Amino acid sequence: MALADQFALGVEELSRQPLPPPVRHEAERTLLNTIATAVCSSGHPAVDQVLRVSESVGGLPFAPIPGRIDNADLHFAAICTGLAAHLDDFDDTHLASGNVHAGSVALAATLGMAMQRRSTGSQFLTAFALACETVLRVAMAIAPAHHEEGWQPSSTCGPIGGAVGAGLVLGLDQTQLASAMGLGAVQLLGHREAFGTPTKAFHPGKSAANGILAATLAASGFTAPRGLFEDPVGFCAVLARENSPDRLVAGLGREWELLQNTYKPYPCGVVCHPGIDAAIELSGSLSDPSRVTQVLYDCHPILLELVDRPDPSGELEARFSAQHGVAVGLVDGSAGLSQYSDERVRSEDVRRVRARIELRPKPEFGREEAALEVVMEDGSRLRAHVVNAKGGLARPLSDAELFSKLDDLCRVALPGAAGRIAASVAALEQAGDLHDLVSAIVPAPAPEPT
Amino acid sequence: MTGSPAVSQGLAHFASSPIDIPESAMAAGRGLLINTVALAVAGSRGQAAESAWAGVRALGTPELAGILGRPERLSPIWAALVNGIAAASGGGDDIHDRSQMRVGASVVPAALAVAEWRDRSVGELVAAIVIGAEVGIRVGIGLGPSHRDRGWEVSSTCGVIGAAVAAGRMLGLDTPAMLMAVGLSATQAAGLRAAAGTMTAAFQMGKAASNGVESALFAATGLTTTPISIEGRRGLAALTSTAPDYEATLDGLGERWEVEQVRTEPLAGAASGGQPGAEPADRQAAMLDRARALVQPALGTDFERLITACLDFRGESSRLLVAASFRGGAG
Repeated sequence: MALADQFALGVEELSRQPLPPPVRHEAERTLLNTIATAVCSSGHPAVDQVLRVSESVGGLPFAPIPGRIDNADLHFAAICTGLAAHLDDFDDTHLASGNVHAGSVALAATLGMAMQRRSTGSQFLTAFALACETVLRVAMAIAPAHHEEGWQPSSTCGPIGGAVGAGLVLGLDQTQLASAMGLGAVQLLGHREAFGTPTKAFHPGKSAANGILAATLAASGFTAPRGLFEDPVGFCAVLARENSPDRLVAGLGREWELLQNTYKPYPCGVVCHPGIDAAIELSGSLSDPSRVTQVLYDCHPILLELVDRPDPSGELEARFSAQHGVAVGLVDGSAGLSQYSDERVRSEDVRRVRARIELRPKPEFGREEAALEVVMEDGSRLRAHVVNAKGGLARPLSDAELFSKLDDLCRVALPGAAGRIAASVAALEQAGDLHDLVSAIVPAPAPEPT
Repeated sequence: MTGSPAVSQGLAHFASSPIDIPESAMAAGRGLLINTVALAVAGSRGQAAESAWAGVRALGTPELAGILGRPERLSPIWAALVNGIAAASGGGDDIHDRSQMRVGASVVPAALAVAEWRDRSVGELVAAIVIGAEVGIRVGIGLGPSHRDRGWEVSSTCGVIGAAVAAGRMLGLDTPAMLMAVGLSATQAAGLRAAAGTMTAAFQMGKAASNGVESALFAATGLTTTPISIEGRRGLAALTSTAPDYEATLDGLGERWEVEQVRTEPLAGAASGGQPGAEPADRQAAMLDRARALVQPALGTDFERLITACLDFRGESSRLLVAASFRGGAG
């Protein structure tokens, strides 16, 4: 049996059972984190731009967009949702697969359709969880070569996960699901060249929309060839010189990649996090950051490839600047959203420290490891060494920390909504529909004039 | 790649500048239009087109642009999808030998969807097809054989860029916006040769057309992306080709027209159409014979009306062309 058929068979069976409690809990955490980041960036100009196109060529606007009062059709709502969820680079991250962000794709592919189809809360959460699991498993089949070659795995694998999530909501049978996966596979997108622009976040949004199209066409009888994943010139071979297609199905239902998901404490590339931890640790002993003469930043070599940006021009570039993260960690003692504003990125005190940071690749370091040595004018030195970054697998964010993050990210678009959002996610298992969830994640409509 | 020419910028500049297209290239564009319209009409009742149409209708869509060979209307992004699928589902495509690219089923539906929606003339439509095809083919030439050997379907991966350029030309994008349309489409370059001969192969051509239209629309509203989407260190060429030849992409751009080298594959019951090297008028006559054989069974005598619409450059609307593509549509 072809891999797509095996996978579709397994996933369809899993969709008819309750999720194992730890998986359900992690799915809820991923969902909460994704809602938080989607709400936070919902007012970004790039989302407005997508909605302008939606107004001119989109269908009847009924599907919700977290954080926004306006709706769109399924296609454009998916693009907006995935785009917003990933824009701040603050969404969930699966490290082993090449820093895949499955939640943005999974939420964008399932929310509107589940609402339209009047899915129960439990059906929606299961489809969301299995969409995440699919994205992650496809990514594992081509990791790490695929990411290293220069692709964004969230959006190359995203259409397949989106197709499974949307397909389960539509109630596709296993044959249709396998076709939907193939139709998703040929809609891959996402070059890393677009990093530092809003198109990086457009990638997961569009990949979710592509997944919805794949599932919808499969429901109407469109078919895809089997064997597309393991074919010698198929999906896996084309996307990674070294690949292991069998990882798609190995241990499906027994081992869950979703359980390895992590949530970022800082809104920037995950490889920057251990350095920021170390910087924040040192900031308390740093009485005057203007007297820093040099910062030696020992790190995993991948940082020089991905995030070596000593002088980012603004917010988006700063999210991929290892130097900026460490600089604000040292100067401000924190690295929240306000540390990544254009204003803070361009401020003189931060620029000054950034310019004094030297990245030193350490092949023996793990990806969650960093060491800082700060040299002061008077010759004194401060040192910190972080082995496991906060928010990583060894030091996961607690549920309480995740709630604080949600509360913080909702501050502008949905002030005070975090409690209601968390309660509606916790109640999904028993919810007969998505009404409470959807009304918790969008602003209340303006009262009708009387 | 450091030191490589600014390929994306060069193509975007070409695609957005006023160009006096020679008659030989316009004739090639008319040939692409006629062949693709004929194939789409012939494929419009096939299983692939039926399923695609039913699927996008279920998604919800405004009725802004027509489906060739059918009375129903869809959003321009979905009309491009369905027309591209219909045109690619029956064989008999066009082919550009050097790039190994089939170009009509992506570029023509994209240009047509926007032309009809924005009520542009057939002359403007053909010019946009010529420019889009030229750019798509030249990206394909630059990616070279290693791109296809790896397993990529060049007709779709480069078709999406040609489609974006053709749609962008119809929308009147300026050079900075055209550069973004190129970038937004390049990062969506997809399509696997492993799908050859299946419905999915037709789907990835139609999706290239659709993504091209959408990329142009997003570029028009100001969505931004990298200006070096093709030649950048992590761009299309670096990720999908081991030996990109950027000089070949830009060589003679605007002087030598690669689109003139597109020929049509023979098809059972239909002549092969005019071939490169023939006189434009002879080529056109041969293409009409072929198109007649393709669509006569579906349209009967209405075929002549369709062809008149395809060949009308004197300010007639592209809407007439689509309306003439189904029985009774232009009556």
